[in-house]
Amino acid sequence: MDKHVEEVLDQVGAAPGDDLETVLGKVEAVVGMPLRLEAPMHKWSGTPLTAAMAFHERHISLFYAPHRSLVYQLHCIYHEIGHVLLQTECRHISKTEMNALSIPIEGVITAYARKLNPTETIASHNFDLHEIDRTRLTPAARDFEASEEMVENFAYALAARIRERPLTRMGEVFA
Amino acid sequence: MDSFEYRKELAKRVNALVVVYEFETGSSLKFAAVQTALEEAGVSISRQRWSYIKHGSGFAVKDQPLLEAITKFFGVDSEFLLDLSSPPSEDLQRRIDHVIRLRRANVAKVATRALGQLDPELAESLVRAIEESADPSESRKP
Repeated sequence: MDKHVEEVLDQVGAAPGDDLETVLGKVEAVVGMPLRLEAPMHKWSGTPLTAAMAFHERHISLFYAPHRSLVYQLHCIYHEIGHVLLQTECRHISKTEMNALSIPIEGVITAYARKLNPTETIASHNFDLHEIDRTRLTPAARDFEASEEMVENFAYALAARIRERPLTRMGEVFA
Repeated sequence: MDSFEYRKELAKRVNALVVVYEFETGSSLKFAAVQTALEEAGVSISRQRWSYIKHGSGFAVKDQPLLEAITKFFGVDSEFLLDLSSPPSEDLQRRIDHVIRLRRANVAKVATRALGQLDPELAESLVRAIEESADPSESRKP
């Protein structure tokens, strides 16, 4: 795992059994700013947009699309927490590059899903991380991909740390 | 358009692209990044020339390959800088409007997890959700 990701996770102190509320509290303590989980964005269900975050002046808002799999829904939220904590920055990429990236990024996401939890099928397509032909990406696109990969890595690693609790109970915060 | 108007209009357009870039990436655009990207596209640019373009000063920059490379770097249609009387594309206008709205709401940075392109309706939904999540005391007056 990326050393930086591991260090950030250690800093957060996520522990087995932590629910989302606890994780958010721990992240807030690290970031020093209130972290607000906004109401689920029903409009985003079934769209490419799964989650988002916004840094306001005095708080951070996290948005997510409801998903039938609570594990996946949590994963999307963890991804945004990763952006908050890792402060990832990426170079601007053009629309063409973004189009070219839509499959590789999905590939990265599913590849990491398989790597960290090989028994679980999270997405319908299974791309292998090694199938991504990075030589075809522009430098900006590679930066973008690397940044997203790091945040995805963070999301899976965070889940791995707290998943000792039965998965069904992780959804309680959404009940 | 005389030379003065040309330089001012070019500067206005390039600065709009820079503002959108900086907001969307959450980072300030350094000259070195522009220079590297343009070099990768086979076009060279000096710091002084970049400064002329951004400030609308010095010589009017009308070098077509250079302007095309700049638009490519920002991911917009080359027409935007090659024909200064042309309106921005719908997509660019929407991005500019979104940045203005989010800045007005004092939003410093936005990140999304998207498995593909956001269509205009979805992008609008995102911006509106962010605007609504701002506390009134955090927003600037329009």
